[in-house]
Amino acid sequence: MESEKELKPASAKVKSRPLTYEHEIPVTRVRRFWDGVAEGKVMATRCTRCGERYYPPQADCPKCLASEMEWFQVGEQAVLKTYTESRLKPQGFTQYTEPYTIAVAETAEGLRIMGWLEVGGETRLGMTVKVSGRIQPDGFPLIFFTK
Amino acid sequence: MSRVAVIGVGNSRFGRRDDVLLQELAFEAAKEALQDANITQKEIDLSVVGSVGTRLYEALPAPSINEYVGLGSKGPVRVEAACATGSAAIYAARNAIASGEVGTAMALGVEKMNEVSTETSTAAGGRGGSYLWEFHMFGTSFASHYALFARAHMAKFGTKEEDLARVAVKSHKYGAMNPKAYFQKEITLEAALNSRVVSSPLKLYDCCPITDGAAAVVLASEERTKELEIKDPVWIEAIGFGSDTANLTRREDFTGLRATREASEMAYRKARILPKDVDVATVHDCFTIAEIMAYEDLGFCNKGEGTRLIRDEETCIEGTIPVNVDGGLKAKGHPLGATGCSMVYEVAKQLRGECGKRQVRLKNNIGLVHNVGGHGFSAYVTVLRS
Repeated sequence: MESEKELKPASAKVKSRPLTYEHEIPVTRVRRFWDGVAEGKVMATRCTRCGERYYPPQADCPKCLASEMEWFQVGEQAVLKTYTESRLKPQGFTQYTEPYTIAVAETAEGLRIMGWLEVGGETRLGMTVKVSGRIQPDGFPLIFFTK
Repeated sequence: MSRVAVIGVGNSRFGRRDDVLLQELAFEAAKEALQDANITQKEIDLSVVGSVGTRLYEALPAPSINEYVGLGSKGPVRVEAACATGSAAIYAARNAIASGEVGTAMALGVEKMNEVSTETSTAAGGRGGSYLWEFHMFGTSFASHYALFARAHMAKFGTKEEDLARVAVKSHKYGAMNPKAYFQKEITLEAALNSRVVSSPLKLYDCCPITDGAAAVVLASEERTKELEIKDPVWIEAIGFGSDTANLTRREDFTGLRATREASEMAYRKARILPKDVDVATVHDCFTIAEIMAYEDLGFCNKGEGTRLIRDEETCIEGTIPVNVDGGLKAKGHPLGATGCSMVYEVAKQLRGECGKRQVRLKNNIGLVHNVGGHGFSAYVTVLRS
């Protein structure tokens, strides 16, 4: 007769060889976005041929297949569409001790952008928020929605 | 196009499967599917492995999986469509048969998600939309994506946290009746409402678990179904698909999924059925709000009325349109690559009348499978008929 141990073997694990990905991302063609954030602005692109606007910004226009874009700053006022206070800490964000609030807001020109919401106090959908950018101390860009 | 039948289905136990390797997990599902069809690997012409694989140490999992399950000479293709990978595997296998290229095929979906830390698994999911413009800056997760939908749905339609909790209670009720499910315990409305916030307004019990699991579907042409003397084929009447923006901010609206609406409209049109003809459905409830939005986007009710279906228990076994009576992603679990195949496993068993105390009443012998990729950037809707 088989013993209980043979029927249900004790869990056994081995550690894998670690694999670390840390990408060097070539943002050359959308660099103006990063420069803009450093200046406190949120920048988007507009196709100089067909006029289509892109946020997130992109260097090529799938609508008319042109690659001549001009940059413009999105409106500094936006309307809050939705938000969530995230208590999760994905890898890469475990250094943030407090929960952060991810939100989507719509600018006057009808572009929707993502940002971290930092209004304090009452939050309601439809409220007007101020859009700004900042390079954080760790070098990552961030877009803020404030009062 | 040749008609294609589901002739065998298999499903591993879902859960935190620390007891098996990826290949061993796939074996459980493949073996059951072959035995269910009463065939051997010899009768399979093509294997399509569905695996998202972003949490694996096995960089290219298909070859070793095929070899392990005895399909080493039949597996030239692996597919990926985020959380809809299982449906994409079925789509590829079905098309290979329908085109006349092959007579039989196995769609084998498998995922191990618990071998890395929760932080790593959460990051792998959160990077699933458009990395530079979402995760890189804002630390998005799949829970936060669906929480954005939940907040907007609540604001527009008056959906309450209690409504979301009711979905969780239903899922756990049926999970407790399904031996393949991750969660085997019923929960109360109070427990769901009092669980900790994960990404507001979503709480722990609004979220599907990080799951290991495998599921397999054997498909065959009408000719091969006859040759193999299959007694209980379940026919694929139609597969509809839809897709939407990778960047969540490019959606016009956060109260539903356009990809689901497009996929279901295509599937209903191809199958020449209406939503009311469906006897049983599995819908993509990665989060409770996703099930309510699915009711609406699949046309089981009007937009904004999804909460009525859950409040009135219309989606329970005894209701007008039973949904996720296998526990759903929420309680059965959501091993990404396996989920679409596991949904077909459930609906095929329902249409064959094999679900025992979970069996729904069949009127039209029509079942529906709804499988969403990511935060709604793709969707498949499959209509099955026995």
